[in-house]
Amino acid sequence: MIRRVWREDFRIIGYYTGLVTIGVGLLMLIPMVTSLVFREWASALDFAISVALTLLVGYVLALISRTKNVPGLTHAMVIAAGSWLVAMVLSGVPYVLSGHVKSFLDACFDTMSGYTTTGMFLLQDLDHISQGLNMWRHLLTYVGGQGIVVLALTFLIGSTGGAFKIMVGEGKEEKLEPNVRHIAVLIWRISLIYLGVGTVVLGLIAMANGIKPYLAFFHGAYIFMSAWSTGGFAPYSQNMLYYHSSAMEIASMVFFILGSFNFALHYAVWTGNRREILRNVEIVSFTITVLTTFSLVCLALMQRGVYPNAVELFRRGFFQLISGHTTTGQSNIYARTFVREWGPLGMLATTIAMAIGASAASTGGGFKGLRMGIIVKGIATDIRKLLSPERAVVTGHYHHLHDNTLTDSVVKGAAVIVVLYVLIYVVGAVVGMVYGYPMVDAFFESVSAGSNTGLSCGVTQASMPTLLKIVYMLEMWMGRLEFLSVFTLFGFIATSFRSMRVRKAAV
Amino acid sequence: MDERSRTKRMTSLRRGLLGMLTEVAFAGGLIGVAFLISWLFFAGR
Repeated sequence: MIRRVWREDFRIIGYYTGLVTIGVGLLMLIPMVTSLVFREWASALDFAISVALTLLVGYVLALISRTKNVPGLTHAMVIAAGSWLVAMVLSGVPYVLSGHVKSFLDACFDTMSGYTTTGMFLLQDLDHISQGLNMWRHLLTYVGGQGIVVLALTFLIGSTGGAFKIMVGEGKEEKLEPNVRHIAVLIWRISLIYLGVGTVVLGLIAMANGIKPYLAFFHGAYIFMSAWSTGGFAPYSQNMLYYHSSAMEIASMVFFILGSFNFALHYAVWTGNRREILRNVEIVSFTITVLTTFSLVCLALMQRGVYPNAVELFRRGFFQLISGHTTTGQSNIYARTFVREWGPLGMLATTIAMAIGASAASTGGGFKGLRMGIIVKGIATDIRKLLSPERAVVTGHYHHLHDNTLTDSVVKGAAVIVVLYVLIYVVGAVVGMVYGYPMVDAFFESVSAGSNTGLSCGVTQASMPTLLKIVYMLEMWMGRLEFLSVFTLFGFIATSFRSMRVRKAAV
Repeated sequence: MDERSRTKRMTSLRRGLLGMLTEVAFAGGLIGVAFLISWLFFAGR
């Protein structure tokens, strides 16, 4: 039986959503300072207005719903899904004030794309936006990769009993430490250490490529944030193609491969369990699917004679494929090259790679290597059962941090989520086809949005139909939060209306 | 900071650094294998 919704439920949800919103407001101070440093006064003013508005909304929300009660599982799920929506809307304010978007919907599309680490964008004249706005775009994706709730947990919420549940609602279900705040701090520590290393490495490469030193390190930070969070944004509209640098591409590839790893795996490897990287089912599954789909890409590109030598085939083909598989979306070819040169087989292989995606509890999207590994092991166990004598007891195992027994419920849980992902991929593709896009293009773009990848074959642009923009935004949101918290939010809204009707009838 | 906690901190730092290098080596290895695949495709055409 579904329970009724009471005023206290709204208080708990409002209070914690308010705290997350305050976190978003404080985060906006970074692009504001960036604008001040670069003497972009108009942009700084845009951010000052946005900071004031976001802090006001967050503070009022937290104040009017102030409570000492701890969130339960339902609250936690609603807070996680709702916070992302509130953050999306308020983070779009600087975009609108900058005048670089055609509508508020386009601004929300870009912020949803940023937070969910997708990387699609509808921003106009990207090559001439302020450094402040560029910093904001990349910061959105960097914070989105770790999780907005994780950010708020680190600095604002603390170790309440329900905090871990909110984090689970955001798709970070690995319990690395008993204290939830320690988990959040740990995730941030790993990300910040890599941010330092990545900014220096990519900054030096940018400098070697002739970019002015003070700008080179900004570019380094932007590209690192985009790579590590498997986001896909870049400061210029040509994305990685702008740099014409294989060193930059290889360094970025290393960072987005690392960003696609489970935070629990980073923790295990960083605390001495280095063999885990070779044994973990997610990494084994990832390696096999990467090499298989890349072989398909090679086959497609060789058949069509697209690239003249092995180096070029590797540089373009593997970069695009691994960018898709890790759900990053950085690109070193033009969007229409997929359709004009790669052809259906190359696009299909990339679509499969995007659909599978990165690791669970990572910055990446897709239905994840862990689920892929579990389902394949489940099928293998079933085949072994069929081939064994009837009285034999056959159990499957998989290695994820430690040896786990493969139960039917684990396989079923993984299969349900995979089916839901496939469902959103298909819905997005069907809507695309309704608007007249070819099937291959519609599937490619829909999978790219639903798996939070961001590679585009040219469908995503400001002039595309409004409904398609909304469908892609929903795909990004659901794909990132892995459905449960979004469904709980919808269920909570429906139950709230029903509870109101019951109360009115009683009066 | 006493000797014991300093040793503990150094061990943790060393493990962290080695962990990071392991991860980078894995990513580098994967990229290397991918290069080999593209080279094999060209060699075998």
